[in-house]
Order: sequence, then structure tokens, then C-alpha cells
Amino acid sequence: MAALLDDALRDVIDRLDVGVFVLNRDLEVLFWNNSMAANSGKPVSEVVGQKLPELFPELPERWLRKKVDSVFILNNRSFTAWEQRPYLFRFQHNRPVTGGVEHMYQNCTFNPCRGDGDEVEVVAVTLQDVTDLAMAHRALAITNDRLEQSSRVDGLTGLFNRSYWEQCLVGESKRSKRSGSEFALIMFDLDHFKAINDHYGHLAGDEVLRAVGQRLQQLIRETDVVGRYGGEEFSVIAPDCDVDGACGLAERIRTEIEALSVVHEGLPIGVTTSLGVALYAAEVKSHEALIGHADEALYRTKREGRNSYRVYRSG
Amino acid sequence: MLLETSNVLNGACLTGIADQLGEELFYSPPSILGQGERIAKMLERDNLQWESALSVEINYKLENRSFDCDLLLLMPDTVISHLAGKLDQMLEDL
Repeated sequence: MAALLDDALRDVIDRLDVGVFVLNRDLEVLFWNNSMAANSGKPVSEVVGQKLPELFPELPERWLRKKVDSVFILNNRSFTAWEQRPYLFRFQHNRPVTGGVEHMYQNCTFNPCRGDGDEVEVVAVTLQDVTDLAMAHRALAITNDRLEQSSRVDGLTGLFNRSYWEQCLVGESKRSKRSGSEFALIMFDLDHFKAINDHYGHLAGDEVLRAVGQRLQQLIRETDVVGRYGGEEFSVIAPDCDVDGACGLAERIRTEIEALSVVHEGLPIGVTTSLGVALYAAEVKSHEALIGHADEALYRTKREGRNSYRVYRSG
Repeated sequence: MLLETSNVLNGACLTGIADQLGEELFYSPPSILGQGERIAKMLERDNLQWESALSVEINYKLENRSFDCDLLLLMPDTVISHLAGKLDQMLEDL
């Protein structure tokens, strides 16, 4: 009966959809199941009695020895996960649709097996094909990336939306407080935008906003963060920027927007902008206060004739 | 490296406890729940299925090396009752 059961168990292990093999301390293979034979293309007769690193020269031998030794010495199971080590053996996977994956992802477990005494005598390794799981994870990560991206961006202009832009502002304020570096905030809106909408229609207004968004993205430095603050209001965070730099940037934005030629249904639409500049320095209490400063400067620009910029003055 | 180290520590600790209790343990491969995050955030109530848990904190340090970590064991209610049964049995046997 016991012998029959032993045979049955051996048969099950042989036919398992999981790779199973057994090693001794010298990395000599003592057992090699069907799954291992099928995936490696090496039948039992070629493998048993041979040393694993000699059979598979591409295996990371030093690492493998350490791994197996630790199982022998500590009598403790050890694992490899596909996230850290995509595979132990470079096997083909059996998926019809590959999605660009050329090998099988594997999770392995190294199990210590004690004989009659306390000493570990052999290590039994199981190798699971987790290609499906790995690919699903990858697809999920890509989707999450896209979602995150689209949740940050304003659909019409392609600029960052207000909530993400504000997160950036909070982050920049904290960084500035820590490091003592200055940064500039420029708030601006398009002059008489309501008149454009009224005169040419909302589609024309949208086109202007889109054109402004595009131009702004080409204009700023890589480290600057430009967002659509509201309807026709925009804002730029310029890190490591002093008052001269900020004025330079404000003037550049002003001239570039003035030079924009948006054509809607054959009609050219001209647009200008009014800007307010504020610097974040030690005396500014919060990022909200900084927005207030830039707004104040922006209103002064508007009062004093538009298509220009002003810098916030305290007091 | 992180997984490797924690596996060795966890394994040694759990095997020791299991040996004393005369239990056979089953455990799944280790995984990283989070890195550079506050543990309180990782264990927020919404993320856990347990009402309460017994927590055991074990500190590991290597002398003369900059190695310092905590091993945190969390045992949910069902396990605690099993554990209590085992402990009662051990006390009776004394």
C-alpha cells in the first residue's frame, strides 16, 4: 500500500504543472520532473546526476550557491519572486499572445528537506510559471500611469489642471522653506476673453485657449510647472528663479501670446495677456498667500492698462 | 536584498516559535507592501480585514554594523484563540 502511494505521489509530482527538482549540497540534480524536462528541453536521463551550473551555464552560479547554501545552513525556506528576479531558468512561455514578453516569469521556492536526522540533506525547488500574473501586473501599471497622467492634465489645453498644479505649488513651497531657495509664481489671464467668446463664439475661445496652452509648453523650462488655473487664467511656477528671471519669463510670455495668430473660420483672432509676478521668500507665510500676492499684482496690471506685467510689492 | 534579509529573519523567528509550539507552519513567499512609507499608513484600518490583532515587536541589531530593524508580528483574532489553546496545553503539561 505504502509503495503504491509512493508511486502515485511521484506520478502526481511528475505531471504537475509546476517545475519540481531536487538538489544536493553540490548542486547535483537528484530529481527532475516532467515540467522541468519539457520546459528546459533536457530529459531526466541527461540531467540526473549532473551539476546544475554545468547543465545551465547561463545560471548565476555564485548567487545560486549562496541561495542553496543558506537553505542548507539555516534550515529555512527561501524564495525568488518575479518582481525581483524575473526568472531562474530562461524558459519560453506558452502564451499564444505574447505582448512582447519573450520568456517565462517564474516564482521559485527552495525547500529544505531533512532526512532522519536534524541536518538538511537535500533542497527541493519548485518553479511556478507566473507569466500571466506578471503580464497582468504590467498592464495594470501601464493603465495606472495613464490614469495618473490624465488626472493631472486639463483636457483642453494639455496643461496641468488646477488640483495637480496646486499640489506642485505646495511641494515647491515646502522645498523652498527647507532649502531657502527662491521661486517665482506668475499668474495671468487673457485680456477681454469674454469678448472673444461673445464675438467669435465659444469654439473660437476654446481654440485660443488651446493655442495658448501649446505655446506655453514650448516656452517654459523643463522644471517650470504651468497649469490652467481657471477659465482663461493660467499660472506658472518657476523654481530657482529670482525677480529678474521671473520678469524675463513674464515678458516672454506676454510677447509670445501677443504674437500668437489664432485663425478661426478664416478670421484671425488677436489676444493679449496681463500678468502678475510674486516671489516666494522667507516672509511669505503660505502658498495661499503667494497666490494672493500674484493676484494682487495681476489686478494692478489690469488697472494700469493690461498687456503687461507687474511685480508684487509688499505694503 | 530586503526580501532576502527579511526572509532569513522571519524564517528563523517563525521556525523557532513553531518548534516550541510543536506546530508546522505554512508560509507564502515574502512580498514588499511598501517602502519609505509610515507603517501606520500601510496598516490603515481600511486596508485590513481584521478587527483587532496581537502585535509583537522584536528588535534586531548587529553590533558594530549599521544594521537595525524591527520585526513586527501581527496575529489576527482567529490565530490568537488557537495560540491561547496551545499555551494552555503547554501549561497543563508542565
